[in-house]
Amino acid sequence: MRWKVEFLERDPLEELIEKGKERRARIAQELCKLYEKERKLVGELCKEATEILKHIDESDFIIRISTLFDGLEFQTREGRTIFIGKDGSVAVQARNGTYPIGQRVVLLRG
Amino acid sequence: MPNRRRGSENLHQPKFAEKGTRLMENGGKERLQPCEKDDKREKRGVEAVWGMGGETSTPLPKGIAERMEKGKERRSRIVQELFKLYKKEWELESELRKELNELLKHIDRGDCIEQFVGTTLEGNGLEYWTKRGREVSVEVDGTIEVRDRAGEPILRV
Repeated sequence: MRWKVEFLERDPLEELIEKGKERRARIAQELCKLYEKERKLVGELCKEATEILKHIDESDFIIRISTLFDGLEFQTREGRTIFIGKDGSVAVQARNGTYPIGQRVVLLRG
Repeated sequence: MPNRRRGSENLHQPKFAEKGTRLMENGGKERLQPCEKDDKREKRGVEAVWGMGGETSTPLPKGIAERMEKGKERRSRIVQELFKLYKKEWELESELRKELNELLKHIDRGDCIEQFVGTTLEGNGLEYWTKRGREVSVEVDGTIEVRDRAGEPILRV
């Protein structure tokens, strides 16, 4: 009696996953490190912005952080916007659009 | 009793002109405005208008001014470093996203990665949401887990 050996066909999906596992692991680890570093740096800037904000209004605080093409923007509970530019300049914009600290030029049309 | 008939005298007309005003023929007042400052501004042109912001603003409190000048270089360094990080993150994320899209195609042809949620609560991986409401997580050891809308795992390899 002869036995016939049959090889099961591998699932292409499984193959795809197995193939890039190491690469994915490397990317995920690196990304986690980068996020951690980013959190630390944003935290430092946030602390500085809060310190400046304290001089204007002690009860105000930062609620949102966003990135612009030329710096970072911190929005506060009272509607103020603190802008920290790539060159380290600081500008605080009040709710009515005026700048109590610093000044900033915004191009309306690129 | 003094006679207080209205027709006898113009009550609205002041007896003498106040400082900085001139009496007009009809009894009204014309305010005289100093124009010297405006003339100077006009002569200096647009630069004068730009300078007006500086003239009107109040000086900064000492504490803020010092802090702003002191940490300028440090802030600049941090922001520039952050932008470099963002660029690197974007590159790595798009690589991973491409691979996950490839994988999702095998499960559902019309599905793709829609949004990056962030790191998992345990901090051992990354989480993505797909267009059709699935959840994809990539752990730091390279394991991929796909869950459906109800949170039931569909795939874990």
